[in-house]
Amino acid sequence: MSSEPPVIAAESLTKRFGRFTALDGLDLTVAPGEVHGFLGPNGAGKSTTIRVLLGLLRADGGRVSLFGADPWHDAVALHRRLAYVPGDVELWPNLTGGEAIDLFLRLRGRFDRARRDELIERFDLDPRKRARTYSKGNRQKVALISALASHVDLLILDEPTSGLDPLMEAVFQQTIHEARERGHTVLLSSHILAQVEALSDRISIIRQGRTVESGTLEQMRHFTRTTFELSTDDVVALRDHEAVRNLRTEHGRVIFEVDGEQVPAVMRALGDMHVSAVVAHPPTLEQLLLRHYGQEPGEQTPDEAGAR
Amino acid sequence: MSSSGALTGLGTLLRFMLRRDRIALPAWVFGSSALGLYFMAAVETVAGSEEDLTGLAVMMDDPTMRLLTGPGYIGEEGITQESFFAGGYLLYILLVVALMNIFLISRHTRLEEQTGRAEMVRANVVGRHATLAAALVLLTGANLAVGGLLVGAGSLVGFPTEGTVLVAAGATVSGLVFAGAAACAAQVFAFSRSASGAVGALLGVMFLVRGAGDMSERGGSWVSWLSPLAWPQQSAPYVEDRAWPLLLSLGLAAVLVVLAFRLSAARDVGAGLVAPRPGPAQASPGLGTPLGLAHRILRGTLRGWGTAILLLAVVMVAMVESMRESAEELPEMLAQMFPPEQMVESYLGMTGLLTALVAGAAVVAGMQHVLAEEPRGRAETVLATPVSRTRWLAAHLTVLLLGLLVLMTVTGLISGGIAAAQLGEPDRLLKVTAAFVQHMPAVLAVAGVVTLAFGWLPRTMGLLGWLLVGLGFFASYVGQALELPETIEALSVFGHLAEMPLEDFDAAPFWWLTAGGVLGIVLGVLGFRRRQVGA
Repeated sequence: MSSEPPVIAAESLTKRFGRFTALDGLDLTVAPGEVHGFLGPNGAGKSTTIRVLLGLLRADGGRVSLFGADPWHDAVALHRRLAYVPGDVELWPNLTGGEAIDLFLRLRGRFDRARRDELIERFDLDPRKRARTYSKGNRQKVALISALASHVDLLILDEPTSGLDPLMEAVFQQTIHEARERGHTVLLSSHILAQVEALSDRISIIRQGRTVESGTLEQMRHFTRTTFELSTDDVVALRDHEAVRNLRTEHGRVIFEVDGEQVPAVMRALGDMHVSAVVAHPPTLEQLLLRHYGQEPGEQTPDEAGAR
Repeated sequence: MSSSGALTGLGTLLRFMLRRDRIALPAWVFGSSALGLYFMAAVETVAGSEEDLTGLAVMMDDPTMRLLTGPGYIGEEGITQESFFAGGYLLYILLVVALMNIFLISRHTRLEEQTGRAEMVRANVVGRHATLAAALVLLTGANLAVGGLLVGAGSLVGFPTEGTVLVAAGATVSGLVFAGAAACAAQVFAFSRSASGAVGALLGVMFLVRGAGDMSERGGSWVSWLSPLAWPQQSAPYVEDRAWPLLLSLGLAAVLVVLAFRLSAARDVGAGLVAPRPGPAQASPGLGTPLGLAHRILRGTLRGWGTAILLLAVVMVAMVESMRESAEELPEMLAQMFPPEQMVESYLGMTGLLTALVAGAAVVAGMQHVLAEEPRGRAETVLATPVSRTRWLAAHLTVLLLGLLVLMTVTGLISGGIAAAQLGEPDRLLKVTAAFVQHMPAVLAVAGVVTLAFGWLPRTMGLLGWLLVGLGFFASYVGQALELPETIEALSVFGHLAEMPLEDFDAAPFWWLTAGGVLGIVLGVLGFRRRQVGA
């Protein structure tokens, strides 16, 4: 992590719509130059957070700053330094894609015309079509191209690739890598876990308007269990090992989980056993997420229950 | 697939539409019949005595009045309260019912397709024609309900049954004609705004066509018969009581409905009948600013309403010479009441006021368009760039108001030119132009009220704006004979300015309205700066 002041700093952010609490003490810190994955189930408050960061909504409580300034009061000045891609891009039906891209670029100020044309090429967009005839994926491309061709420090992307095909997904990941190399900071809200895993330096997982976990993928993995799958007859020895949790047999394979810090001990024990095949994998992002999704915060996770 | 399959799901869709319209539909139905009841009852107050009625009969002789009301049928035994009602006010009931049909048909057919919701509906077990058929059934029911309520209103005030039934049936069948026209437009145009705009323009033209016909002679000329709006009036309720002109309406409605289904079968879901063309790959230099964007967003609105304003003024002013002739032919007694010179002046003034009212309506429609940028998320995307809210809103207001100022000036100049040529008085040119442009403060005041609502209570904006324009129209034309309470008259921003060219320019209301409009805009912008966007 960098020691420079963070680009985005939100602390105990709250936002209510009438009686509904959308943000309930959310924390989010994004350091300069990092790609930050922003994850959470539908309705967790990701888009609300982004709208607060853009100064479109005013937070009810907590502290929030963007480049050290207040996003509500200094919206215009801050918007010179960022580009935003919404998850559901709406365009003016009578403007062509090319016109819409130029409009956004000019409204933001400085931009790179050659880069605009190159991106149109790479994303395979026909800029002469009217926006009303564009598919969702094509509208998404318009917003992405205009964001990526702008000279800005921060990209705020709210599920930017919904509707893009896998080929375009690859182009997108490439352009984000390039953006990071140029020193851009990226806040990437997404449901495509492979995308977040491939791109993010750090990740924040939010649920019901609260941050439940934040850190690098490695750090997150450290606090969770590694899954072992092996072929062995020596189940008894494993059953007695204190680090082994949730031991079970599925399709002739022995499966169990081990806490991150006890993996070396288990590996040593396995060396003395008769094991014909072994697969060990750290939790995938999906498993990490499922741990947080799908139950009330504070409720015990399935594997915790299984360990008893 | 069997032909009955094309209507599968009609019942469900109809129930769904009733559910969605549980407020709008009763509001239209009860609103338009309440208007009818109000007119019937008001005739009693303005024309309680024989003397009053005789005075009103004179008004029916005035071509300007006939332009604005109808053919002016009066029975052999002289004018009665009910024939004055039918002659003077039936037209406005027809107009409101027509608007109900245009808006609701557009809303349930083209708007659904435009938003892509129709696609989801049609992907279910729903027949090809079910949506259009359900919308037409819905409006047929609404038109019948209006008719039924009008019959009730007539019996409440004690009007003869036969004539009242004709009035009610006229409103119903005329409503059906415009439902059919709106259904056809919904097939042709890809956007609900264009579709209802086109039928709205048609309604305006039909109003003028029958006006031209009714103006030229008492009882209307052949020109009147070209307009479906004239047919219910030609049934001459309470005077001749003939039903056959209503068959024309019924026939036209049937033809339009069949045409709409034919057109619907000839196109794809979501598409209009006009295929889109490719456009420029790069934006023109003008499009890079909030002002340029506002221009693109409001261009269509300004074009549409501008055409309406210009057409209205040109058609009306073109009749100024025949107005003067007919005024000169009035019997001596009437000529004293309506000096020919004053007739021309008041006619030109009325035309200017009417264009200003349409310009006021354009402000409301334009600002609704701007407000719609929010829920569609486009305002959000623009405001996420370094464009302040003040600049964004100010850009739209600038385009809208400057556009209308230019329109009113051009319309004034063209109208003035026509009047000068027709009457052979060159100084008319600038006088008429001044009379038209003089109304801009009232338009600005509408913008002030609407912007104030935009900034603080955006949900009330449309209703407030249309009420203001509707009230202005009502107080200026329909209500002038009804002796409206002063407070109501005072609320109409259009009623305060001098009636140029009949009266001299009056600076006080001109500057008051301007100041009020600017104040409303400033406060509205302040409100928009502090409220949440799209929430």
